[in-house]
Amino acid sequence: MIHKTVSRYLITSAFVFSAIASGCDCGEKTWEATAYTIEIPPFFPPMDIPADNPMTEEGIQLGRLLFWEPSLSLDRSISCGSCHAPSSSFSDPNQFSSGVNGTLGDRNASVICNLGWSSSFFWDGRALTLEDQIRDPVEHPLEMNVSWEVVVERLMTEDFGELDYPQLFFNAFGSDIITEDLAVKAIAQFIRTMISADSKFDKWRRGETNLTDKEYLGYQLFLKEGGDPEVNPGGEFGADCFHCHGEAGLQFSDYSFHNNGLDSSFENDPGRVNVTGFVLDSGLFKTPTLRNVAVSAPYMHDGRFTSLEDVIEHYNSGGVSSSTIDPFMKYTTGGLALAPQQKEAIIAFLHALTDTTFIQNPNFLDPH
Amino acid sequence: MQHFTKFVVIVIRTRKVKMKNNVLLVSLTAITMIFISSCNPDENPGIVVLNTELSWSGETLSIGDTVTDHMGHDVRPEKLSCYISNISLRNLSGEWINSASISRLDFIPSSASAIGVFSTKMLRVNNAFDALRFDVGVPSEMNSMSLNTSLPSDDPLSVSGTVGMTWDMMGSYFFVKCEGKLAESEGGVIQTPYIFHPASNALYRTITLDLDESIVLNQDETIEFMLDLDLRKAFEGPSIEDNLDLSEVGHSMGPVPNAIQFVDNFSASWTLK
Repeated sequence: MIHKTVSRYLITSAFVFSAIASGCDCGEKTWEATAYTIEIPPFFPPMDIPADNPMTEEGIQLGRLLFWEPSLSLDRSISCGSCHAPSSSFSDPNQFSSGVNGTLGDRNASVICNLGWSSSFFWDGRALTLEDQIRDPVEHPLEMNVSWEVVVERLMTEDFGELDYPQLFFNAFGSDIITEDLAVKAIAQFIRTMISADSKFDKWRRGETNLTDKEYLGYQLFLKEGGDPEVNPGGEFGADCFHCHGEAGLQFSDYSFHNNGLDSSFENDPGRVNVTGFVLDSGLFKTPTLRNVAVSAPYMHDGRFTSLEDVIEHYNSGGVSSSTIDPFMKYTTGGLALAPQQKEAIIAFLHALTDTTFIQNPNFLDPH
Repeated sequence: MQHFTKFVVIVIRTRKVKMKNNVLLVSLTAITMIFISSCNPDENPGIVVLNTELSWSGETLSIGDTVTDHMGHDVRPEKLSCYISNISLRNLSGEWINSASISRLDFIPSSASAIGVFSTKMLRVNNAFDALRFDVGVPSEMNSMSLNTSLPSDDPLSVSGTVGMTWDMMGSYFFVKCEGKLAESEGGVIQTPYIFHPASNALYRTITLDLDESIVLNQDETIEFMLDLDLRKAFEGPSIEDNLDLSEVGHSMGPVPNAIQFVDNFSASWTLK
């Protein structure tokens, strides 16, 4: 008798449990994002992908939408892409970017390309991860000037036509509760896909084309020590670009910070010292990549130079002496003493770093 | 390993054998397990840490300080980094045991550390040591950026983690980066640059430091050495002809006389505290 009762109880329990379980299956959305593997170009080092932000097709798609989404600004007038124009290698062709209500920033908006290999972000390196970098411009009073709370509220509740942001966040992250963290992660995933590795120089490195004699001469000058050895011990009459714009890893940046002799004092913009508090960091700014440099004017942290010719002339002059000027600047010995043909050759080489496949890549353009 | 242990237990149980009748089986199992464990990655190595403090004539030096060199120049060191490789220990039989390590030392602002990992196997015999040795530089077989493009960014030789330690023209690494500025006259402006970037096999140096007392390093133990690096000695050698005039250094990379003199002096600048 007891045996029978137990059996009935077990059968009933199993029935009820399976009914509940099947009921749960019908009610819940299933989430299955598609893993995305970054294809590392030849000669490039591995890219560090944060463990808490793995790449997915859905995350990248969402990130692209958010990158170009004007609702990330207070008056919905600008998106990230407004100041990071594709034709300028996703930098701002204006000296300073216009934020909401036309407010002007105080530094030139940097190139976005190969940031997956960068170890710090912003001209002063104040962000150590891409995710942290992305947080900043949305709330910056001179840029998009809106709180993330407002942005999240908009994405959660407003009608974006065919775009269902809660569903897109669910597709990307398995949660339709939109948060600042998830929005930032999606944009970071998108930016990590923005890889430039198909310039003429890259093709030459892969053995697919030849550099012209002028471009090759420029490349050699790029790699040579600067200055006349009679006045600059160690000089090789080169342009001495490589110490900061190193070719290692093919990013043409050492991701470090230098004072390249723009000013004798730094009241206008102290640069790196505001982050570290170390007095020797006064007037230092992050070395930008030279990839696509020919299309990303104006140059320097404050966009003061409008042409590559201006930039080469600045380095050729040796720059302005100051307490923290980089020792590689030839400020005490009259500059690099480059001949006009040498300057032309360096500029020709810099043009060989232009990657039109990258700047025209439809996967990076405004999807709205 | 866990699977293997499970397998052994199952074998013993299913055959229902008595242990006293299976000494051979147990012995074989033990020997096999020891063999397998010796093939596994070493989980309990002995570790040697070289903590290095920067000084100038015995006084603590921080990058950015202004000091006076042997020629009376006011000198301001602004950057100092170097590669330390092959941290080795000499056992009491006179044999060197090499950790085959590579570390990058960045003195920010006055200290830096290098680490050598010694496997359990290395320490199984003769784990008492009476001297320490390390190299300043990157061993020739690793001194190629093209060899190291696939290294992760936290590796000191990773092309994305080298920040300013690559010699692009040669596709290799600087061994030391020692940069700063000086005033050429007394009370003058500190603005004349000096840059030492020694690189290439000819400038690779080995430093041996005898220990006052022998030490024992066991597996799963860490021994920390405190080293002093007196930067003044890198500019002022043991005799007058070894002294460097920083105002005439400019940029000394490769095997040029100033760079050779610098690495010779630099390798004599390290002492055990």
